[in-house]
Amino acid sequence: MVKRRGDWSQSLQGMALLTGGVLLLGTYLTSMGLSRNWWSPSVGLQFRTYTAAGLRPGMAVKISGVRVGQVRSLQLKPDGQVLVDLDLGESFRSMVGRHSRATLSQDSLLGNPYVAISPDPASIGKDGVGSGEMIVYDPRPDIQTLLTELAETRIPLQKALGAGAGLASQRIPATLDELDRTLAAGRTLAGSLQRDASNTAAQLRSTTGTVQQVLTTSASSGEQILPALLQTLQEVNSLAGNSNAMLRKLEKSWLFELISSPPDQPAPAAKPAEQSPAAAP
Amino acid sequence: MAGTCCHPDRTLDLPDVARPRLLELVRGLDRRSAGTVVLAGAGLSLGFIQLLATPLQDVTAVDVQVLAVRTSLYMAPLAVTLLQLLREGPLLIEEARVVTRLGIRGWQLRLPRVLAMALSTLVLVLYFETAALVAAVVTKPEADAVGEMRFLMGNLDPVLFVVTLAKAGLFGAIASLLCLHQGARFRGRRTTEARAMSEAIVVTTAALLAIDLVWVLAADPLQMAGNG
Repeated sequence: MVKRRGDWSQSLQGMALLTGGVLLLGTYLTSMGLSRNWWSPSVGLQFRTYTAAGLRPGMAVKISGVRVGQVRSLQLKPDGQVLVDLDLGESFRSMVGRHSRATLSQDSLLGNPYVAISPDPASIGKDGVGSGEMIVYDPRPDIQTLLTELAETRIPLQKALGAGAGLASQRIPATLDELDRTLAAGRTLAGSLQRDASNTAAQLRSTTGTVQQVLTTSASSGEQILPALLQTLQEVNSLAGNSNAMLRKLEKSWLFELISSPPDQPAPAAKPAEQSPAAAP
Repeated sequence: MAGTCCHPDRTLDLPDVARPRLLELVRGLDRRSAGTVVLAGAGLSLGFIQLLATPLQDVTAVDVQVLAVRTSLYMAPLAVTLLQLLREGPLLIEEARVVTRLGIRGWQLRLPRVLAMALSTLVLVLYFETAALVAAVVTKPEADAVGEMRFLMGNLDPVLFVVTLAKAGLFGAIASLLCLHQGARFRGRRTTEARAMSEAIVVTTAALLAIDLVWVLAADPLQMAGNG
């Protein structure tokens, strides 16, 4: 009875672990399928390249860093070019257009290389590419190509460097002589300026002292003159007041009108008596 | 007859077992073997990430995790099969010593054991890989652990994954076959089971390493891994 219970327990454990294994397998396959669009329809794209270096069937195809398909196959054509077939997810078809470019990329040092397709903004919202259409592939420059181009540019670069060296050997001594002369003239000019500046500074110091003395004298004179000036101003002010009062009186007197009237016109007889009661007696 | 194969003391009844059930076949699958394998996977992944922490400190955590998980995927079949060999080897040798029948009939009786070992190794590789994956996420976490788990699972190369499972099954079958063979060889001789087991471990380990080396040289797993 005890052994049967133990067997049952072990069978249960085995069953649980087997079920767990099946679930894990399903999880792995689902995750891999979801990231690779296994369960969504796809369209075929193609491009041609002169070298299939770095390209492999099954490698990822990405747009803007998101996996959208994979490389289906590579075929070497009679003309030496390689025809690459891609599977692109149906839902991403509208992002790819005539201006899209395919390149070989790699995210990081440890990342897998993949085919990156640049999106075509003009085709977004439209039908996009059809199945089996060709897009342009820009191969990544390899070390061999770079070395070849470097070797090709080496000779013109050497010629340019030689011409530069010749020009420098001709012009640099003359330029240095001119520079030396200019520096000597500059030193002479600087000495003259220093002497003139010292003389000017002495004169400036004396002028400043004189001006300061004049200002001091003016200040002391102003202090002495100021009370008399104030008194004079008060007297002028009172004189002006008296003059104004006298002018107002004169303006109202008959004598002023007599003086201001024309000489050929006789003065009225009754008016003076009315206007100037003081003159009646 | 249920459970007759689950204990070494009852393996004497083995010739009478005609059609053992699936759970009886996968007798190595219990919590102890799963626990050992989970510990091995987590330890391997954790140690690998700690090892790479300094030289690859400028690389993102996800890249280190991808590298650790992929490395554990390469090592999983060999590691799990060796663990299975240590657990199941003595039982297989004992069974081989008591199975007296030879020829086709004898191998027909032994075939379920081979299949059981292959299936249990395959299932345990899934546990091993999951433990390595979880340890990688826990050891070097970034923002979203669930998102990282999903990313790492999705980033596994399907071809490499299937090949790993197939290799695990193959290694399990080879290990059980070699153990049964060593047991049968020592059956008629006056040698102890310990000596037979020692011989089986050495031969099986050498055979598995040789097969793994040939597979690495022939199948070019690095090129295969570039497809993901």
